[in-house]
Amino acid sequence: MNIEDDELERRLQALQPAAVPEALTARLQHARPKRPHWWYLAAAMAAVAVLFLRFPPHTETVSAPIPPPAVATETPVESLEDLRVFLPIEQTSTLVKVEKVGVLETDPERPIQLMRTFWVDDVTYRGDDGVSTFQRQESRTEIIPVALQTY
Amino acid sequence: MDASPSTSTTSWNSWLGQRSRQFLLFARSQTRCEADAHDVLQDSLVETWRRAGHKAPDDALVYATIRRRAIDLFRSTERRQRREQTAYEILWLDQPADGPGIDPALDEAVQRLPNHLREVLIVRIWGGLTFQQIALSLDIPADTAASRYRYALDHLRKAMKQPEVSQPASPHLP
Repeated sequence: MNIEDDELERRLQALQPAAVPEALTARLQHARPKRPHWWYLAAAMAAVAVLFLRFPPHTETVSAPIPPPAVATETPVESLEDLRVFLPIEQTSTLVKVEKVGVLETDPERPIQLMRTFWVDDVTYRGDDGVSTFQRQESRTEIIPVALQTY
Repeated sequence: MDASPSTSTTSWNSWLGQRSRQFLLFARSQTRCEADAHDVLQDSLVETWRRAGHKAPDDALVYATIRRRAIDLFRSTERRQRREQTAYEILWLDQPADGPGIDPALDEAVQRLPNHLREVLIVRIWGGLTFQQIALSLDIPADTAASRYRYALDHLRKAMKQPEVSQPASPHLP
């Protein structure tokens, strides 16, 4: 830094930034960022609390688990108070009848015989209390393709 | 809990009264016209005040924000349309009441400085920042800030020695 620089710096420092125009000053003062006062927040929280007390959440729809529909229809005690959940623990399927439906010859060398079968299913369910059980029995049909032996 | 709104208003106005001249000068140096300078200044002051927790922020942060906002404005404006680039027709600098008088030649010489030199000179002379603070504000090394400051003085000294030039002022681009 030489003497000329020092002199120039003195001249510069003798100056000051030009004044801010009045219109801009007013604009800036008006633009002051506002933040909510603490009691605005308190009032908002109080309003939420009032709403919560006035309209409490429906506890039944929130807390009650819905049992599976298939189990619920067969549950011996169908009271709404019964919250046990039953799961299948054993199944026995009995073939009671077989009918021939027809022969499919999509491939002449490998014809297929369609068989209609009739079944009775016995399913045992156990409740999540570990003690209660119940059985459900229902029939069903099923068509089974069977390869025919040709000679 | 924080100060009351009236106290906050007082401190905001007080901060503006103390620092807005310096910040406006820097905003003018970073923009192309007075309206842009006002917009950039307002956005930057509001943003930095809020980020500082509704109290006066560091000057270095304000200068850095003004610079960033000016660059953003420049880019968006350029994308939209290339405006006629006009020079400032107002004086950026003033004399205190007890000073010897306004020095238009020196004011014009400052305005004509290349932007990368002018911004360092302004925050150093009228912002009162150290070279370390300038480095943070302008995102340049401190050594670079110091050398640009010396180059700015060189430019000014040469400009003041030259006979008066009647060419229109060059545009000021960030």
